[in-house]
Amino acid sequence: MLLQLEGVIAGYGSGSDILRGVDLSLDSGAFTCLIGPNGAGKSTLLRTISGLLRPRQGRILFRGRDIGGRRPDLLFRDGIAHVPQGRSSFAQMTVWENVLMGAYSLADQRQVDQGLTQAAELFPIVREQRHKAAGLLSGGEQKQVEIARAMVRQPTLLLLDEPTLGLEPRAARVVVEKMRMLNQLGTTLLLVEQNARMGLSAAKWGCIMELGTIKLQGMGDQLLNDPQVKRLYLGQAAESA
Amino acid sequence: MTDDLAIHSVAKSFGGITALSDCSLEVRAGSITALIGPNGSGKTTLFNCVTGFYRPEQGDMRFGDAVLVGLRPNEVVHLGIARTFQVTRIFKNMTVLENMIVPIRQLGLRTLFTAGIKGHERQRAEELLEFFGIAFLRDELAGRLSFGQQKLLELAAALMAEPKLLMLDEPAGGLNPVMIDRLTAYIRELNAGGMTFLIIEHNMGFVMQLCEPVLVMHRGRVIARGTPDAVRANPAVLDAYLGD
Repeated sequence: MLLQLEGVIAGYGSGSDILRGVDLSLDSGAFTCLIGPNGAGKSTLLRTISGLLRPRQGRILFRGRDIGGRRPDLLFRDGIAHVPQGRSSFAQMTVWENVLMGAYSLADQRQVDQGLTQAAELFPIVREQRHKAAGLLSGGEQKQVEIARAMVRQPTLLLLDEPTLGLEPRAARVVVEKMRMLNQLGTTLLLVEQNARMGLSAAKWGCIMELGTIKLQGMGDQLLNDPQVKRLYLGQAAESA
Repeated sequence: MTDDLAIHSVAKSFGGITALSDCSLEVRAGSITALIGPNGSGKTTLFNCVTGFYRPEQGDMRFGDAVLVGLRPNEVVHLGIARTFQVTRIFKNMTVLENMIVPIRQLGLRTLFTAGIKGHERQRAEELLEFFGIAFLRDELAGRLSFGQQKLLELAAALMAEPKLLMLDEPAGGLNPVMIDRLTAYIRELNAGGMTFLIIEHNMGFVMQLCEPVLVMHRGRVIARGTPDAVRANPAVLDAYLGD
């Protein structure tokens, strides 16, 4: 088991609990998609795993070791990378500089070169647009740069928070293809996606979150075809999307 | 005079980059018009020109009889045009309920002496918050809401003013599919009551079942206009946007 959450409870400041006892396991090589209503706690769950938020209760085991409350920069070194919701590239810096930031914590120059080479192979745009300011790229291109930056340290676990948000259909499909490719190459993925149909078809496993707990889980295509899941979580609007 | 939105030959550039050039379009009163197109094609810039956030360098924009060019955002709102933003712009340090009241308060001396929230304001706000499933968050600071909840709040707040024309910038992005269904039904209901919509959206399922006509922007101008089916079959649109 690569990642295991047991009864994780978390929230912000003195506010109420957002996560209300999350149990979740990810095997090495998994591609799991989290879906659920707005405010269910999906982004909060990713933040708790990547160390941005300290759990109030429960255990988070990464490779068998309890990492709850460990600093995000240390977790990044341990192999957990998080690509947050929205745009998070450094707009004024070049594409190459952005990706280089992913290697900030590497001391060994050989490892830096190796990581950069690999990121550029996975995301050709990194080389093609290397001198361009990241802020001048389209949304889909920026998202690829963000994921490339997260991949420089070759993380074991990649957390992705709505990577296709605001992307035109073609660009969204490119990002989905990239996720599939990273997973095939061995990276474990935990994806949060509101475009539930797309997320569940791309991922192997799906989890439905509601009110701060995992309510239901199963194979992605099984959930997609479950009449009750359709009615409660997938709706009609996205049918032809 | 009906309240059509008529945009004629509008141009806007930033430094050396042309965002809109010779952009013309019409949004008929009573329609649910979609505006689709690739990232960077000028859709949001057009919204910003219409609502007074940017001033176009050329062209004419009218809402019914009123000339829009040169108006400030608050003056555009008073004409009956409300909007939401792609990246939500709510007041993060105000409560959810306070955010709902802001759009309907007009600046003036009297506002300074109006304490608290009036009964009918609260009732309407509560109804809208209830509809979008965030009434239980009424006293929470808006900045504490999740991304999707903030979008719902912004939408609810835009509806408080009961605009004639509501411009939505990617309303479905970040919303869960069931909420998208509810939103679709609600937009239809408001439209039946006379409200006009202009909607930027990348979720084609949402656009195709709700909107007509569909306008397609590419490189700063409108390249196609038609029914959802016609637009979907248009080779220029496939090439510029939808892909295969």
